[in-house]
Amino acid sequence: MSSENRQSNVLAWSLLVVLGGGLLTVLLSYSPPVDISVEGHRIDEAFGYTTRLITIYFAIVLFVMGYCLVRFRARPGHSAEYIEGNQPRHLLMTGALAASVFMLIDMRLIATSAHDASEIFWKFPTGKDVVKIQVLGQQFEWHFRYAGPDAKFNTADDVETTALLHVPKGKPILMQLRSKDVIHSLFLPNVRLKQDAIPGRQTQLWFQATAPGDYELACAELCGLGHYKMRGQFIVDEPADFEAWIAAQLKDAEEEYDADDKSANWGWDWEARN
Amino acid sequence: MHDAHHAEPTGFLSRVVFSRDHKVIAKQFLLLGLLFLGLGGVLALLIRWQLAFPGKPVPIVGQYLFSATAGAISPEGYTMLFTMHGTIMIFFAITPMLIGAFGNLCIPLMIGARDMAFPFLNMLSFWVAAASGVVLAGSFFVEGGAAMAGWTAYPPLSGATATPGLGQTLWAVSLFLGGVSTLMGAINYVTTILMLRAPGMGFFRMPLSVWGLGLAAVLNILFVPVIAAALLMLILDRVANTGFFVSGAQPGSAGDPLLFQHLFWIFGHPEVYILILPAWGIVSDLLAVFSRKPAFGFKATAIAMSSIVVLSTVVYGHHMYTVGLSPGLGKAFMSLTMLISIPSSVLFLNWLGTIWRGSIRLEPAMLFALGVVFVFGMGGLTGLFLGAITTDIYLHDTAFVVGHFHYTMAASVLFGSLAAIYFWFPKMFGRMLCPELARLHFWFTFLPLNLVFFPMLIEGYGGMPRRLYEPTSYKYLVQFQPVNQLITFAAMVLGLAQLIFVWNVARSLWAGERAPANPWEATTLEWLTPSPPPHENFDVIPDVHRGPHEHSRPDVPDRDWIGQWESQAPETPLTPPAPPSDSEAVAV
Amino acid sequence: MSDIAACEVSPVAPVATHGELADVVGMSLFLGSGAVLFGSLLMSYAMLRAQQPVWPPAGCPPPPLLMAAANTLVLAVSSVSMARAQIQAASAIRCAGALGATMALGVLFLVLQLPVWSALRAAPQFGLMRSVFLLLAGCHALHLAAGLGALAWVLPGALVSEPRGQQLAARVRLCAMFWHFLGVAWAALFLTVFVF
Repeated sequence: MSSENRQSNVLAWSLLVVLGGGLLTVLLSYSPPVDISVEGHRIDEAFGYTTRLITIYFAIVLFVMGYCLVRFRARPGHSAEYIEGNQPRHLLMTGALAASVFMLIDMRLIATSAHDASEIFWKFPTGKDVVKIQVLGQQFEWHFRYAGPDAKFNTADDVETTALLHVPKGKPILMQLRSKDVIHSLFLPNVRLKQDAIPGRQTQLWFQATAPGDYELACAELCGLGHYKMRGQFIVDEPADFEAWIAAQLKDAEEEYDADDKSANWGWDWEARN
Repeated sequence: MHDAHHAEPTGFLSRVVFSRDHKVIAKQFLLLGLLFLGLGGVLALLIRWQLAFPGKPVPIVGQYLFSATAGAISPEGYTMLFTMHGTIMIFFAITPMLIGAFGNLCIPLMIGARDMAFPFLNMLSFWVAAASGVVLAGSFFVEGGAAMAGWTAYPPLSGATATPGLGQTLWAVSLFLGGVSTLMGAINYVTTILMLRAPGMGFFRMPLSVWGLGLAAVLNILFVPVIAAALLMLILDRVANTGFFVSGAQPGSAGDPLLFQHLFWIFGHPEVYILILPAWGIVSDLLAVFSRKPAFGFKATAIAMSSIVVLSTVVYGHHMYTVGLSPGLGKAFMSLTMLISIPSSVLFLNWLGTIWRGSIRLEPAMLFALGVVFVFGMGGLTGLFLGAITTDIYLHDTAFVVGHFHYTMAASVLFGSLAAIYFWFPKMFGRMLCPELARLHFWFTFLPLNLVFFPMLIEGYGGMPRRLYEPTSYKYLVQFQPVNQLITFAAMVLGLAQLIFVWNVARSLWAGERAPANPWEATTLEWLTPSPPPHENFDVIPDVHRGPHEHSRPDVPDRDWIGQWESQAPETPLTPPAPPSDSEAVAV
Repeated sequence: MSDIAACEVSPVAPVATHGELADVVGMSLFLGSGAVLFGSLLMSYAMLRAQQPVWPPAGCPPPPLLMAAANTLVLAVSSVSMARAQIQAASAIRCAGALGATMALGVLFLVLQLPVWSALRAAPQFGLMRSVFLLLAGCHALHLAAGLGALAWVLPGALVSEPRGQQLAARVRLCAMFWHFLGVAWAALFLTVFVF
């Protein structure tokens, strides 16, 4: 290898490292939307430590690869060593390393994720202070229904909104989801959750918000040509503001109620299920 | 049907078009795959244009393709684009290239057979694949256009009510035909491997490429019928008004949309491994050849691949964490999914073990093989987040998933295919490719490719749902527009770089240097026979004396390899040693 | 799937050549994937049926059990005749006779399917019963028609001079594997849809 070649190689690699590093820094400066839920941090944390661990492992793999490519490059006077890698010590080493990956990364992720899934995210709250909301997915709008003062759905005092979700801060919110036409998926980036709404089935989602504000909700599952338009406003209120909002909505709701309009009264009897 | 010798056919039709020669069929599949790869790539660039510059007219081609909307892509057009991009790339680009072309080329040559067990079925397999490709490509031109329900085609969206029109039906028919073709191929591959190995070719003397291709074929035999069943029901739902996947708005009425998802992913998850297994095998072989060492832990690699085959059949539920699985079922699927990381780690360690203390020749095929190690590492590791329930709930259906499966399926499998092309092109066509152009091709593919797929992971973590016509319709996604534009520019560079490859291939076919029988000083049986191999491959079926990667044996004097066919080390090399390639000096 | 193959390779006409063995292996693999196909369809049927509060769904006539039993009987007899063809493969004439009988019974089976199908035409448009029959029985009938095609290809060969002895036996063996597979598939279908 001539010295000119070596120089241009070094130059190319330095350029690559600087450019790549710069780009990576910019890209990694992006972060997910602010977490406004009591439990969402669990998902961020699982993501965080898994990222750190796999970065370390992958860096080791790349380092060994790079080392080999430089150190064991074919050149006059260098020859490969005949290693089959079938000796017990090789197998032991491979097995031990693979097991360490599994135990350090996977087992921890399985344990946290299993706990969080069955004890937190898929364990639906019960009790008096739970705010119940019925959600209907429809091409290309999300509908939300609140039971109103009588605490019963599909009655005259229901509050119904389209593409607008109001929830009070500090109370568990429990939603039941159905779909009118195709599969949709309610995605609340700020609480780190999503749940499919499937025709013929009923699914559930719960969270508890911590910070009042004006956020967005999305449809995550392709539902047709207007999929991209199926966004909604997701507003977290102080409890008092929420009550005020419901009260204001109720006035309109009672006037507009028409018991015969089946498609407007899409709600259903709430049945607790787990 | 199985006589030892057939006369070589002479007519154009029987030699080139309706040939039963596995080497010709391999070329046919390669051509089919490359054509669809180009088409799928163009669709990808159009998708990227819309994401980077929503609603802006597409430069140059827009006025012809989208004349009704003054060159801009409509929601219909966009939905069609990503549906067809996914379908084409998976079933009509990657599958024909890796499994169709290199399955056909490598299996008989590497195990020392004259042809496939069922040459007629083999020919039929190609022509059914071609027919299904025509049906799919033709669906662009029917009224209402091509399919518009995503490549996963979940009903009820893919049903007759939500997506009327012939395009979606043709999509299902085409995939069904593709499945028939794949099944014919798979039966052929497994039978050939079981029945037609040369004397002495035990299972643990087969090259790992054959292991990968064979295991993929086994998975195909087991799981293609499952997707066939799902497609049958989808077709019937669409044309005969049956109601398998149709459900009323209220619970308890008629069919079940989730049934399709179950069937789709029972097939769909193994499908990922169907595509990646051959790539793993090829990479394992190539790393050994170009490190001049035996593949480290050969048996462990073969067993790891086999155990992934077994595991792949019981993990499909991790695609459905958001449909409302019971927690118990979710946890079971998660634990099984995570088990896959054990054999995957074994593969990585063995790859590193193979290049450790080797004498590494950075030929283009080796660069691409090393590229697979990198991109598959990225894909495999990002898969952890999607295998775990809670992180998947957040990341499901976002750009993170898109980045992840493009790293595994697109990047790894594409690099595997390119490695295979650079490695076996001399054997297939009897000509050498230009290594300098190939290196240029590698770097201009590898770097932009990472600039395309890595930022998608970031966008997905930022909460960007996939398949959005206008990402800017969400306020919280507006900040990602520079990233989207970066991806799009990188994708354009990636696309243009493929012209280097096209030029290299064209130049080589026209005026490339003649290939010797064994240009890489490799040890497997295909390098015994001339390049390109004669009709029926071998003058005499060779006896197999040793494993597939006997490089740098201390007891072999003068050269660092000994072929599987050689009973003992020859006094003088059988083939003249290749001139020391000057490429080694300027590499990288 | 290999167990299907194993019981079908009759000791009467042993596999002679490597190539014939490859044929048997290939056919076994094909039947294996066929088994997965019918298995997937039956699984889908089970999943849909399990979600119904009552079965058959309200307003649907019960499946015509007697008619289907007659179908089953015909197919069983045809399998016996297929086995006879295999045993008598050494004699072209007898073999051809048995093959002809098998074909006739196969055609009879398809004809007897018609009343079963028409009994279900009364089912409502989106009726699950109608869908299930269209799918399961239709898929089976198509495969059976393909089997008849294969027999029609082998049968003249048995009468004309061309394939004699070993070669005829090899062809009949492959046909028999497929035919018996269809019998097993129908039996599974009959049990799950009509009996239980």
